Amino acid sequence: MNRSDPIYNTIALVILTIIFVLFWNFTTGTSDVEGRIASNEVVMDSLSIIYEHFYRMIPIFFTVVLFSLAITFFLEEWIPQQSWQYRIIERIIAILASIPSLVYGILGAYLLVIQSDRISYLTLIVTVVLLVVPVIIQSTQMAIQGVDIPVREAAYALGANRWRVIADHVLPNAFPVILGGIFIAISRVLAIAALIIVVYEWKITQLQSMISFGISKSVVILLSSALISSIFSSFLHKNSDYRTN
Amino acid sequence: MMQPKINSPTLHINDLNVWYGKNQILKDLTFDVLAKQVTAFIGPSNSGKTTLVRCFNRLNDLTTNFKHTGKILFKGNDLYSTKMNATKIAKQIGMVFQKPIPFRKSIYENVAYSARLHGINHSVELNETVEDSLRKAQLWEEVCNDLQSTPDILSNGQQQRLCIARALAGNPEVLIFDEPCEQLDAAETPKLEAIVQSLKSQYTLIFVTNKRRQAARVSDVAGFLYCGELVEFGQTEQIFTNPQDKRTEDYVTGRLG
Repeated sequence: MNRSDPIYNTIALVILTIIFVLFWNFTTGTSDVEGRIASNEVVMDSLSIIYEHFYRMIPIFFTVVLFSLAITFFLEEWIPQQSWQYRIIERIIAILASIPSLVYGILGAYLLVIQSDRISYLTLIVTVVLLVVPVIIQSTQMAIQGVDIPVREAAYALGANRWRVIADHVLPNAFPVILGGIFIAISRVLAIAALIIVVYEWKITQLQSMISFGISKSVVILLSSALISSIFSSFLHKNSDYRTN
Repeated sequence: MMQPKINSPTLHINDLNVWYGKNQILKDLTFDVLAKQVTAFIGPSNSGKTTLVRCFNRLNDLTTNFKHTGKILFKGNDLYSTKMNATKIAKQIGMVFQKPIPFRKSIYENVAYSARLHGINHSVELNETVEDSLRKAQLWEEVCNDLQSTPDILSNGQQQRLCIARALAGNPEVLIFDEPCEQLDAAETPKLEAIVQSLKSQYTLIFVTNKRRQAARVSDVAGFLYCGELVEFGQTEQIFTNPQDKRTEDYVTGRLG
């Protein structure tokens, strides 16, 4: 076994994270009993909702991750990088990924939960897709572009076809970074789910009046500023030396 | 020096022009590569040597805005016709790169990888192929005890020989060496040249180098490329002792490049 292989390091990291999460209560327990009881009333309810929907989210999440990996490999390996299709798709993904997750959360809560007055499976799917796909695509793109071009060429020169090159060389080399992107996406979904559920715990009508009054304006401002900044940054990215090949 | 053998050309290049975008890299090349010989291409850097040999196994297809005119016939078949499959061509025409590129697998798996690509899956047969190719690359004695460790333990020259063994495990007909000694030290270079000499009887070898004396030592036939033009192509002895072109003479004697 090769100890320097990043895959083993990643697996070790995952196991450590799981252990840490399992012993979370043990490590963060406080002696302030009264304060805990007081705060737990709100937190426990929202946590139970998170857990309930987390189990629902697992199959959706797996499908979405596979879907976005497929999109990325198609984008990076099949579409020529100088073509206008590639540039447009890449720009759209950059813009979607740079929008704060709070915007997606509030839009999801407002348009899909409050308007239809229930949390449906479709709500989860749409919100998770919007939150997860651009982030995973961006990190996977970085990972694939990070694989040495000579390694690919050596494999092609031996007579490997495109599928073999991807399966034997690109994916194993890019795997740790791809996994990191998936974890970032998970944390993004969980963070915004917690926030939205805490908000949802309040009276829906209150939220509705808030949204119709002030938040819609702030959402528009947020969205437009995110758009402008991401378009600006994508032009900067285009002019930088980052992508030479 | 050997007398020229009478045999049919393995590669026949006719009127080859290559462009990257608007830059013309190769201009009107016409020559034959004969079987069971070492054909060397010499020339200063940026003269198109690497581009030329990358046309033979169609690695240039990976480069965007690559375009070409003219024909490259491999045993009578046009390499760039729509019927030909780039993967199958790469299996018949192997390549060793300038920099040693071992895969992140064990030494055994590195060599077995290309054997597996050629449909050898039975373990006994696989072991034989690996040993045979490592012996041909004169690496077997040095690594036979740690086949399962990664190529990190090998020196640069040993890694390059591992890459040769990997290319040989695929049993190609033509083997291209693209400046293989560029990153090797003085002790490793003669070993690699000895390998080239020993492989000559079984394979058609194409050797790209920018070291004039190395080409003189290794090759039977040599071509001098300068700024994309094939200035002179002929027997090595003749190129180095009695060049017909002024530029070849300048390059061989060290006044150019």
